[in-house]
Amino acid sequence: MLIRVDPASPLGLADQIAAQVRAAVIGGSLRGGDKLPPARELAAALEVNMHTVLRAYAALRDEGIVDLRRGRGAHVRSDLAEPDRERVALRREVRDLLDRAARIGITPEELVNEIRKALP
Amino acid sequence: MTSPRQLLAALVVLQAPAWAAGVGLALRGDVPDPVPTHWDLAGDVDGTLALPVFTVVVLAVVGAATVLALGLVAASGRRSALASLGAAGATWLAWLPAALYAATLVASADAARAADVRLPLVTILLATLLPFVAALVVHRLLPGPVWREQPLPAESATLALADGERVAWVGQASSRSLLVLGVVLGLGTVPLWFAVWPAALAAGLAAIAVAWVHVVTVRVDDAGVAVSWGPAQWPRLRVGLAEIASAEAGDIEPLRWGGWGYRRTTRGRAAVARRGEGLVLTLRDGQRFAATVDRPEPAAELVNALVVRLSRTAR
Repeated sequence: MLIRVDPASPLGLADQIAAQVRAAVIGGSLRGGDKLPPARELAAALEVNMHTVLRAYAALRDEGIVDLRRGRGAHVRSDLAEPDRERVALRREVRDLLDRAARIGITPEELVNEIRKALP
Repeated sequence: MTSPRQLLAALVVLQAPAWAAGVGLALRGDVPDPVPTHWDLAGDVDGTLALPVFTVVVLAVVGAATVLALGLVAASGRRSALASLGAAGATWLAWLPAALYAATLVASADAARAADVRLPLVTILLATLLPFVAALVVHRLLPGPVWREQPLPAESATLALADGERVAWVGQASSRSLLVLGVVLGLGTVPLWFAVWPAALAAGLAAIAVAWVHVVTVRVDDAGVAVSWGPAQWPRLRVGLAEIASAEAGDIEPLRWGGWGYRRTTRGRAAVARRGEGLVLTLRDGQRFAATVDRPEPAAELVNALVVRLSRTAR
């Protein structure tokens, strides 16, 4: 899969890599069971540390998007159903919302309060 | 026209008759007559031939192959696609009997009877390897097939790349059949271990090689394209970005590229794990380089974009 990173971006390199894998899963270009690039290859190609790539993959594992197994590499979870994709997409929007809030000085707690206020 | 490289290749070819004749002349008084010409698996002599007959047969084969090789070396100057491959083959054909003949005579020197002669393993290995080395040298020295039209470099790309942007594409292709074949071959060598272990060793190594090449990894980045084999991505082959004219996604039929694994044919080089889609590069010298890989379209787009960026930044 195609991965781009921008070292000048305020977003960390691992976050940039994770975001693109996440987007590919949501967009459907990565399907359940698909193998992610070997961390060493991707790291060498992007000229980043291998642990940066592994950190990205570990974050995706914690979100339930990929399976990480020693010796087998990283795979998109094959039990990832449509509701899960939706959830992954929603999480991304929440993260974007948090970033946007942080930029205008709203703390996560204040944001939660805003969301509560918006409840019918 | 004859180039210095062709002269060098011809010199390599001529070593075969020269050494066969030289060793024959030098040792003709020191070897038993008849000379041993065949050994059984235990290393005992089980075939002999009169020295003059052995010499004439060997020199006839070596001579014929030498003439053929020299003809093909000359033809390679006329840009015939197959001449350099043919010249390499004929070189091997000339060198093999010459090397075996020389090895036999050297091993037999100073022996009283043919039955006393032993052929050391090192000699066997050298006599088998040297012809391959000679063929490889001849192939390297001669010009490869040349295509008439020069490839046009990719001029525009559908993928936009900023000058300093780091971008990479990594993909793989794997074949379960090759893996299964390797495992089956490997299991097949087990009974061989108890009968002929050298054969088992060779078959075991072949089985490991077959299982190893069942996965091909292709990596595209601003250095070019790197193809590697096996779970550890080794060995690795690189094609520099400056060597690449353009790339496309294509269908790779193993038999048209010479088979599975790593292949060199007149079509170009190929890393093949399975039948089906792959990345096909056209190099600036007109040669092609193909690698099987799943969903190669973005890879081809990226290669073209990188080629365009390279020509932009080089300007």
